[in-house]
Amino acid sequence: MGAATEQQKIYLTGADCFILALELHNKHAGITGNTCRYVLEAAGRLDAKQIEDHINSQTALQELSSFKLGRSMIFGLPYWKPGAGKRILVEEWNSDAFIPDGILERNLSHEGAQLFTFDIVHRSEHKSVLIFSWNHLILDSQGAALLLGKVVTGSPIGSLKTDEKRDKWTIGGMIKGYKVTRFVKRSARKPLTGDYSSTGTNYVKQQIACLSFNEAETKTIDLNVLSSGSKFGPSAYLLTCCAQEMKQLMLQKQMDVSNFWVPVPSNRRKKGAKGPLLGNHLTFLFYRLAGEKIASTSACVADINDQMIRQMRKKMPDYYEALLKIVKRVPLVLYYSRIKKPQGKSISSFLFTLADDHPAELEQIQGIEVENAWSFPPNIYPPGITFAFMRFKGLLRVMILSYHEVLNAGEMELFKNGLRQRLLAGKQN
Amino acid sequence: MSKITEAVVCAELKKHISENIVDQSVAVEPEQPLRDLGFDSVAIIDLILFIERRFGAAIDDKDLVPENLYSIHTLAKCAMKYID
Repeated sequence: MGAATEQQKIYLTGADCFILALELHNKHAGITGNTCRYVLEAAGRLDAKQIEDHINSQTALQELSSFKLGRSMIFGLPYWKPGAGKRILVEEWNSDAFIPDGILERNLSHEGAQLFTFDIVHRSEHKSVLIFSWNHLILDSQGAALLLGKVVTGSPIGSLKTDEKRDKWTIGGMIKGYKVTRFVKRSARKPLTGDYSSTGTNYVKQQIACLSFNEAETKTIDLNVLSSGSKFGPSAYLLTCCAQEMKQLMLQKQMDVSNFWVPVPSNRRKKGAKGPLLGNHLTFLFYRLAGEKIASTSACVADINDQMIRQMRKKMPDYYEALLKIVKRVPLVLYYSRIKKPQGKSISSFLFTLADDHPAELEQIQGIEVENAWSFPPNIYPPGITFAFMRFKGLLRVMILSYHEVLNAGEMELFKNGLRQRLLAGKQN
Repeated sequence: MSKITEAVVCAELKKHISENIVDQSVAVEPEQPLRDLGFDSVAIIDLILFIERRFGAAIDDKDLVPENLYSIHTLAKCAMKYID
């Protein structure tokens, strides 16, 4: 790759650099990268050739497929440099598997040949599924939904250039970074429950489980959110249910249960914004869920509400974003030990995310109704368990991501059913 | 200093939302449900803390209920109970 001119460079955001550091983590754990997926289940058979032509009519997508990562010097900022565009192929599969293993195990590392792929899976009942897989480094879930919307509707993507700047180190930024690092260290103090691994192998196999709720069930869960005291939205209730189910699972597996520590991403994009497509625009809130409070839904929800307000009052999400910007210039290995493993190991008990609602632009593909949709975040290992929630046409969808090394198939089935019952049961848990 | 009325609180909330929370292409109306504007828990708390900073009004926990957090208008009405 030749040297990139300043005009060609597209700088990574602070959150992108955090995700870049996670690539090291993935490499150590032998997992298939920071891969996210958006799965659209159509009510009829899709024409892969037409989708491939649509995709390749977008020069921006060809440009994106040629992105190479660059870094100008030791303390320089990482950036993307577009190369020569190449034709993007849509691979076709005939399978009744929800996501065929060949797609699930595909490595989309930034060091590999491709950062994103499109697949069409034809199922036996004359229905097809469009699966967009991408490395989290290039897009967050909202950016991916925007991009997919343009692919499906055929509207132009436009320029990929973002207004991400060459942030400089400032004293103010460093103070914010220090404050939030101190907060995270205190919040993540021992004892914590986590690290359910680990077979010590360098290859781990993914597994996913999905939960759908119909209109009546979604309404029941919405009422449970209110009666639990989750006053600012559903997240406190949903997080509580996940923690309770995790605790139950660990007790069944005769593991020690103490406190959970869960980082929860928060979208920094403005609501209703149609861009930028590229990059991650995230910060985090961090919750320490006290072991003794998890058993009571209302106590745990109240505790999460309190922690949310306290962190917002102290501007911790803003400070964390500032920290991510500061450390962009730090060499990756140092960054990794500073941000990902401040206490020498992975400290998250599990991962939790509440994705945006499925957008109206993606309710049809080629004039065929989309009858279900799923947005899968990456699943970092360890901890190797991620819960993601979203709404499709107003109906709640839950995705559980894990690895066979963390939960076996039987445990995953029990876990999935347990979470379903718990979400529907409400405060009586 | 001019008296703070419900209309003033509404206008300030609308301005804060337009400048900091939603995209400039999004029209903000006081009666519109905040959920329809894409508000999540973080955005709701941001509004509550804005009222605290701007008007010195700390809304009591018992009043932080969905009916009061429904729209700019309902939130402004609730905030007025705490503004001298």
